[in-house]
Amino acid sequence: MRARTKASIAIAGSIIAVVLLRLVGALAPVEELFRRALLPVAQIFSTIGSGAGSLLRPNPEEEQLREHVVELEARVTSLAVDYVRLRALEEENHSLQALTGYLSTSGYDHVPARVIARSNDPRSATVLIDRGSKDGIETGMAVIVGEGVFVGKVTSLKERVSTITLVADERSRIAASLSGQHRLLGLVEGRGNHVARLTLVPQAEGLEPDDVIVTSGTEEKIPANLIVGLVNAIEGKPTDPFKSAALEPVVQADTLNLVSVLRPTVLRPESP
Amino acid sequence: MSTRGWIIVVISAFVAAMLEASFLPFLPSPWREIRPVLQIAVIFVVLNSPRGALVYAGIAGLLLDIFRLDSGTFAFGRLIAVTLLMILLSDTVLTNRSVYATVALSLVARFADRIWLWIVHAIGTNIFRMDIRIEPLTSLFLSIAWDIGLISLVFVLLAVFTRRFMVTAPRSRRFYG
Repeated sequence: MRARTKASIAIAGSIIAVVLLRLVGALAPVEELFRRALLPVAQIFSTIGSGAGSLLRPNPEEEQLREHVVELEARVTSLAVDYVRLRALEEENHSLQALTGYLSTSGYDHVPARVIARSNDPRSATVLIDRGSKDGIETGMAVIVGEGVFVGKVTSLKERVSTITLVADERSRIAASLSGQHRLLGLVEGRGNHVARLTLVPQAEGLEPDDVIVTSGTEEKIPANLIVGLVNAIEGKPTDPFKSAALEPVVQADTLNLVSVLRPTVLRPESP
Repeated sequence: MSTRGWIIVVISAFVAAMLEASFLPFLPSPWREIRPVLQIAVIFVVLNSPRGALVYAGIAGLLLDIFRLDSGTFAFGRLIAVTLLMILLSDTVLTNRSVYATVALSLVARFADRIWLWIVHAIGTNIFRMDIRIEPLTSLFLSIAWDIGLISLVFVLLAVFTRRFMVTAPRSRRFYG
C-alpha cells in the first residue's frame, strides 16, 4: 500500500473517530480542559471585539436621535407614574411578606459574567458566557443586565461556560405579564433579527403601546417582574381570540458585554 | 518544515480560530462575515505546505469546536476534510500558483465547507435530532466577497515581500544580460 494511501486512511479514520467521540461526549473532559486554559484569551478577544464593534457600529442620524429623545421623554413620564404605583405596591408587598413569612426578604443571588462569544446567525440570538456549572449556574436561570432587564435564559451548560438563549432567538419562549399585574398575560416569542413578539394575549386584556412587559414568574427559575421590553405596535382583529404585539427591547443584544445570571434562591423551598 | 514553520502554523491556527470565534462575531455586518480560518488554510496549501495546512486545520477546528456557537459544530472534521480537498486540487488541477488559481481554490474551499455544513445539518437534524443551524445564504455571499478580496491581497503581499511566486529568476541572479 502506498504511503499516501495509508496517510489518507489514517486522517479519515481520525476524523471519524473524533466526530464519533464528540457525539458520545467522550471528549468533553479534554474540551473542558482546553476551554479552561483558553478562557482568559477568549475573554481578551471578546473584550477587544466588543470595543471594536461599538466603534464600527454607525450612529443613527441626528433627526432620528431627536425623535427618539422626545419619545423617550414621554416614556420616562409614563414610567415615573408606574414607578410611584409600583412603590406603593412594593410597600404593600413587603407588609404582606412580613405577615405570611413564607418568603425570605433577601434579594436575588447573582453571578456576574462576561460574554465571550456570540452567534453569527441573525435568526439565532445566542451568546456564550464565561461562567458555568462550577459557578453554580443551572439550566433555565434568568440572565439580566443593568437593573433587572431580562435578556435571556441559560439553555446549555458546561463546567466553565454556558450558552444563553436571548429573548429574540427563534427558539426563545418566555411567560410574560404586564408590569404591575400579577397574572400571566401571554408569551414572548423570539423571531430572530433582534425582534421579539408578545403573543397569545387574550382579546379581553387591555394592552397599550409603551406598556412595560415583565416576566410572569411562572417559570421555575425565572423570577417575576424582570423587564422584558416595551409594547410597540399591537396587532389582531377584534374577532380573533388572541392579539399580539411587537416588543421593543430595552437593551440592544449587540451591545451585551457584562451580564448577571440570577440564582433566585428566594423562590426555592428551603431545605429542612 | 522547520521548527519556525511549525510555530507559525500553531500561532496562526490559534489566532485565526480565536478571531473567528470570539472577536469577529462582535463586529457589525459586513465585518462579522470575515472568516479567516479557511483562508489561512488556503494560504498554507498555496505555499506548498500540505502538512502545515492539515495541522493548522486540525488545531483551528478543535478551537472552533470549543468556542464557536453556531457552525462550529464538528469544525475539526470539516476543516481537515476541506483542507484535504484543497491539497488534492492544488496537486492535480489548480497546479499553478497565480492569484486566479488561489482565488479559485479559496472559492472551492468555501463551497465545500458549506456543503459539509448542509450534510451535517441534514444528518444532525433528521437522524440525531440535534439543533444544528447554518448561516443564511446572504452571509455566505458576503463571506465569499471577503474571501476573494482578502486572499488576493494576501497573495499579492506574499508575492511582493517574499518573491515566492515569481516564475522568472530575479535580475541579480541572471547569468545573461
